[in-house]
Amino acid sequence: MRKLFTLAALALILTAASANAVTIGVGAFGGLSIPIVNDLSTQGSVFGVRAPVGLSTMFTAEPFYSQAALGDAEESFGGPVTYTRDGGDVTGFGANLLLNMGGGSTRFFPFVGIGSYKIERSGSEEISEVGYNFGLGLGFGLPSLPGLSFDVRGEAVMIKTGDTSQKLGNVTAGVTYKFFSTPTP
Amino acid sequence: MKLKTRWMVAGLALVAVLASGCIITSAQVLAHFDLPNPVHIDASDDHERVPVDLAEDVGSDYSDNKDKLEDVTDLAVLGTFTNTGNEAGQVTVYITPGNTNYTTAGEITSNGTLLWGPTAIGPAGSPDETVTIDWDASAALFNSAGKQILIDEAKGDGQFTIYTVGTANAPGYDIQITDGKVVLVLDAGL
Repeated sequence: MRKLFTLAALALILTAASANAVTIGVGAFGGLSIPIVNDLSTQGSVFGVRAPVGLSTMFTAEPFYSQAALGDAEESFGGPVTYTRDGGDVTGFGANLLLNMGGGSTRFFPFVGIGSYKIERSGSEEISEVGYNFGLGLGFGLPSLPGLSFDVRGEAVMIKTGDTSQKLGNVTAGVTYKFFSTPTP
Repeated sequence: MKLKTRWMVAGLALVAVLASGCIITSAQVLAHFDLPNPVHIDASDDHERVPVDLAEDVGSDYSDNKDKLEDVTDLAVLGTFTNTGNEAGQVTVYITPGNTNYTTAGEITSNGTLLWGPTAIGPAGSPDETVTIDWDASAALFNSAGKQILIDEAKGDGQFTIYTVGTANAPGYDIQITDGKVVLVLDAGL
């Protein structure tokens, strides 16, 4: 199923890119990272960089690097001592595919992505696995600042761990500067 | 491309992600059970046997997730270790499947599997005569072979036996573990 989707998506992107200007940008983002149904971590922060490549008015491919520092878990287990467990750090790099909707200075974009993630927690073995993400974003630009755009996103990240996964919900704000564009064919 | 087509592509993407199945519907659930309070080990009585029934000792956190249990992702022994003896000692924890009743440290180390440790406790009067185990440091002391037995037992009937074992050839140690707990994080489908 995933292979079929990947091939279909690739065909659509190449078709679209051949008839449109290609744009390249660079951006940074930051926000909150919230573990989902994971008692071993609490809310933390996430930041990272992206390099969106606009392939058409419809599709943007977006390599990314992200780094999340999750909050520690604290528990007393009904006893007199409160213990603290390292919430862990999650780093990942991969690529998103954005589906652009809307026009003018505001756009709405669902996106999916795949990446290689590493979970590091003090006292535990490092986990390096593939992860999947999907989410929704809202982007907008300012007419007075061409090339510069802003976005807010909500995103779910699932890092596969055998037959289960560790999951994060990220809420981020980002800024992107488009610095290159090919002429429109 | 028309808006309807774009929504179809977005839907296809979502289906592809959801097709990855149960990795979406899983959780890491914190559970624990208490050790006897206190655990006491010294040269004359160098071990303590703790029979464990996860359904009873952990309760619903285990029972509710047992059928969907995939892994135990994190383990720790927590508690305050105090040595009132004049000689440093160390504590290790062994595990055996099922309900066993070994009566000497030699039998335990020969027939059981190392689960956790060792951790060293200084003699009375030293700065480390009392040690409250750090959760992160404790998690690093687990032995993978013992952990696998614990996982297998947790996926089975949930009954096993753990033994706290003291120091061989150290007649002067006298260690108590107060408010001791075994903490585990169950990795389960939902």
